[in-house]
Amino acid sequence: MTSVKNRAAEPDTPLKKEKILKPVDFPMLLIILLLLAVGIMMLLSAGHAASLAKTGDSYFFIRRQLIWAAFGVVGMFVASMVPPKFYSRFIPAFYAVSVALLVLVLIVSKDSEKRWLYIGSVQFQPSEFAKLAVIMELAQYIKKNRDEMKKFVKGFVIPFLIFTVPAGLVAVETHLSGAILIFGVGFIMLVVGGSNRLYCGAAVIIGILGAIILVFNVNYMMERVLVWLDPTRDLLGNGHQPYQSLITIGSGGLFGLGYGKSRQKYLFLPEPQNDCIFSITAEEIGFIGVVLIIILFALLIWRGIYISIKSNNLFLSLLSMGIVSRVALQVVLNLSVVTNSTPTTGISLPFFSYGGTALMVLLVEMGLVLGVSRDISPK
Amino acid sequence: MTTASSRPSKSNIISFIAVGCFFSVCLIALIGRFFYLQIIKHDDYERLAISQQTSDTAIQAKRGSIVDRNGNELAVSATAYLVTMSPASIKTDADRELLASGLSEILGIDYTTLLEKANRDVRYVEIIRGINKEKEEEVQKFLKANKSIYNIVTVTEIPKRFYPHGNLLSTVLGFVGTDNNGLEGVEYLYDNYLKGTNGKIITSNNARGTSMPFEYEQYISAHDGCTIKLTVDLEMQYFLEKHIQETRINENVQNRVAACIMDVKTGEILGMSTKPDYDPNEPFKITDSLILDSLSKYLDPSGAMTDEYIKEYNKTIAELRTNKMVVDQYDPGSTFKIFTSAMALEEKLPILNETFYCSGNITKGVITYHCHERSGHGYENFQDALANSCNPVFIQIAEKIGIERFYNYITIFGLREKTGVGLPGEVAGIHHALSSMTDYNLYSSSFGQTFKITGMQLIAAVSAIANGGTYLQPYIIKEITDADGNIIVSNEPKKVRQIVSKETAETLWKLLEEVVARSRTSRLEGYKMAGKTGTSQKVSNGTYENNKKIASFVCFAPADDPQICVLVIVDEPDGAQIYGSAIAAPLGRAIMADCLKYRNIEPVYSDGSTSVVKEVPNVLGYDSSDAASELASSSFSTKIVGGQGLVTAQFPSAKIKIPEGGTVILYTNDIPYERKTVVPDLLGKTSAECNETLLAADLNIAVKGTNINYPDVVAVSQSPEAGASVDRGTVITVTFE
Repeated sequence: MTSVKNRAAEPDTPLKKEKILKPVDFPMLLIILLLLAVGIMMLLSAGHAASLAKTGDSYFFIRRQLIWAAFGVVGMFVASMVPPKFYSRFIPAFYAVSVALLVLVLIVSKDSEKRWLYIGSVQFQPSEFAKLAVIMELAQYIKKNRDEMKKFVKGFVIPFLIFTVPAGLVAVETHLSGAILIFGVGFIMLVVGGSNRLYCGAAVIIGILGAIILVFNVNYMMERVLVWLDPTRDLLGNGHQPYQSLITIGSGGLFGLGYGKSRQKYLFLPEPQNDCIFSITAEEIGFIGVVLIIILFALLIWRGIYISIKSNNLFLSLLSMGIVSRVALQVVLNLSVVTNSTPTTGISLPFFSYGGTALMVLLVEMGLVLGVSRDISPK
Repeated sequence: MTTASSRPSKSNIISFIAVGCFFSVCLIALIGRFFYLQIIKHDDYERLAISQQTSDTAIQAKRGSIVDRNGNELAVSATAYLVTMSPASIKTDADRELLASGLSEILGIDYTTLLEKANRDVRYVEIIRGINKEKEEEVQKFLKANKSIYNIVTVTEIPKRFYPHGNLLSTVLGFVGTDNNGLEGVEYLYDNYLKGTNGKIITSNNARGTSMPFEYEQYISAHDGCTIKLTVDLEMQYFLEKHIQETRINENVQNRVAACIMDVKTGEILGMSTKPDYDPNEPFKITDSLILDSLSKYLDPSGAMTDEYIKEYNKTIAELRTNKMVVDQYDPGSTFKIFTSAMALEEKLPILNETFYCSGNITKGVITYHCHERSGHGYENFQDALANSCNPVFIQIAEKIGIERFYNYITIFGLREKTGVGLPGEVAGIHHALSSMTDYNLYSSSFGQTFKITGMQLIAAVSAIANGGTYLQPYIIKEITDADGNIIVSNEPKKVRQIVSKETAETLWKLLEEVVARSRTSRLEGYKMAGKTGTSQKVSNGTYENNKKIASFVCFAPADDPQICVLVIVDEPDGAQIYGSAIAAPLGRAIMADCLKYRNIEPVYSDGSTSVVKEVPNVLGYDSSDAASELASSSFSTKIVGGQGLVTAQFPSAKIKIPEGGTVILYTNDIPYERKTVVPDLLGKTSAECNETLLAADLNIAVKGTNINYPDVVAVSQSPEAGASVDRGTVITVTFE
């Protein structure tokens, strides 16, 4: 028992040599590709004005995004085919490297926001990898310690640290939304992994109290909250983005202005290609389009949960659940931000927002989920 | 075993579903939020969006024209072009030279000046403003041929105001600034009507205001400005200005000359001018050489402009733009005696039956008022006093009227408030307050001193008397028509109030007609004209400046059915003469003469008997007594030379036309006759004397001129000349003045 456990997580593949790969879950693949297609379509429309303004080329963003998407789709299929047994042994190292990169970026980055690392001409965000690393590490840890999850140290403190350390490092990068995501996903995994509800509940209460104390004592946070309650309070500063976002969404109406016909993307709305891409989407395809896309995301979430439930392996189940939760959390946060339902923080929308690293990682993650789905697919 | 233990537990699965439900609730809540924003608040946000997304490119509305009462254009707008460049964007010296040489050739600008502009390190330099379409096309062609400077030079459409008649009516019309806004006069006051509504091309702009490729565009066409039709008649304005300009030069007027023509039956202003004035095509430039000469004393000895010169220049050009008739107040002087008379008549004071005495001065309290005739006018009736402009008499009349009534009449005559003629900058008079008005004020006021009114107030009130006592609203805007031809504003004659009775008015007509008739410088040959001159002292800082006068004359004609009223104000004449009667009256008369001719009112010579001419019948061979009765039936008188008998000769002979009542000389056969006679010298003789002299010489008279019965009216010319040998009975035409 112990010896088995000490090895890497081991899916049930007794006849691995003869075994032909089972097909992936088709509905999940369809949902993923649909969302990717819609996302790229929307970026094409929403991003071109900003692209022209920033780079002098209307199609700069979309060209890069398409290249990344192509790589991403390849990565997705590769990831769906790599046997978990193969990659699971690298998880601790992956986690360690990710944390190390988060420390490195703090040291070497000269930007005011210490998010980016450059290798030659390629730039990437270590926090994107950290998200996946945390999910994998937690899934592996919980799988290994599933019988001790009710204990305080092994079942709460250690897994808590597994995600709070990277979350804290990302927070120090001043990448608040990244930290929130890592923290949120980690916490969800802690809960669904069977950690003691009492501890978790206490952590939630302490977290909420801490947040309240923080808001009332740190001026800029209080200001953020006040601007959230009334964006017109600071129209040229922090209120600008939420105010413009509301105008963008609100002016879309039921049917929208039509695909490609956004007016707000002409530099009125900040980040129309990134954080605010869904505002442009809402403006162009209206409430009906918004509902359809949200339904698409909901289908993704529920199909992911279905895959997690059906999985025969707790590690894969938790991996899938973690990835799905991460996407779900990011979608909910992004939509909350663009509708000014929560205070503004820079958070991108999966499948839609412009960003190479994020799209690559997302599609690889989807590949992992699809890989999990191979075990549950009908024979 | 392994399989079972590695599967997610039931509690795991439940918490998975819980997480799914949690996110689903979040997403449903977000759908609700989108519903709220996109459906419920849609209109609000759409409005906000449109207001920030659209940027307007103005389509300039064409400024409306200003035309005279007959539709002649006085101010029109044309499209012109502005050429600018961004020198900082020029890359090479070769381009600079190319640009400078090309444009200097097309636009006729100095090459070096242009090259200097092209070398500046700025992004905006005006090259030329106001070029026409042909030049604009040439510039465009040049730019298209030279790609390297194509984006350096910009040609923009700008509206340009053009005043085809130059200085004519400039102080009324005003002018527009470079931004196409009216700055003075009608242009200023009716700017909202004239400028129209600019149209716009609404383009969706990005937040930085730079243009982006975008489909959304909306075109809202411009509404061109309204056309304003003035009551002014270009023709009348033309001769008005011609006459006052002549007076200004001839009489060496130090200040300005202003004149106004008003239609007394409607209240319309037919002409209005102040000289010297300016050219609204170049509103910041003094064009008058006399003024430039007088300013030259501020120049440096070397001829360079000093700060003081620039200051004086700017002050002067600002003054030249003002419309003296409405913005300047002055003491009306003796012209005001019309109103003092009107008050007395309206109050039924028995002035017409009274005999006054003028000793040359009158002492009231501690002040002695002098008459302009220091030796006094002696005994005189009211008509004499008015014609003599005798201050002592008017002081006595004012005393009878009393302060309160006098004060009230000033209000009734509209002299206390602006006339509202429809011109900017109009002022009201400055008057004594009722509570502080002293008897001395009253006495001085009776002859138009110690208070101030505008020329506009005076002519409006005199016109009221001229039309039978009804004060009509004076107006200069006849009609405002929008670009589609709809009449927006149409001014009709408007009665304000009856200021004196018709009876009083008509009495004044006669009195004033007589005043003019008795004045050699005022009376207008062939017309009945009523009027009054005035010479007022200018007041500066509360004291009268004796050497500075304002000569004025107000008149209306025809005096038995007045149609037109003319007022002239000559401010500071400095020639041989400075009195109203000497300077203003001939000017006013000249304007009036042209007005009446223009209105096709034919001169009527007041002596009816000399104005009808008839053919002399043939009486040769008649018996002299038959001939005499024949001629008498044709209302000719007869002079028979010789005894009774057959008529052997008659002068004038048959078919010749002579004035009715003229004398035909008949010779009877037994007397030899002298056919010829010598024309006597008639110059300086009164009409009665002329008649007598000519009759004695067997000649007939035809009279030209009016009011020949006045003793000071004498023959000024005769035709044929004295000494000529003519047939007896010939008609000698004598002109009286």
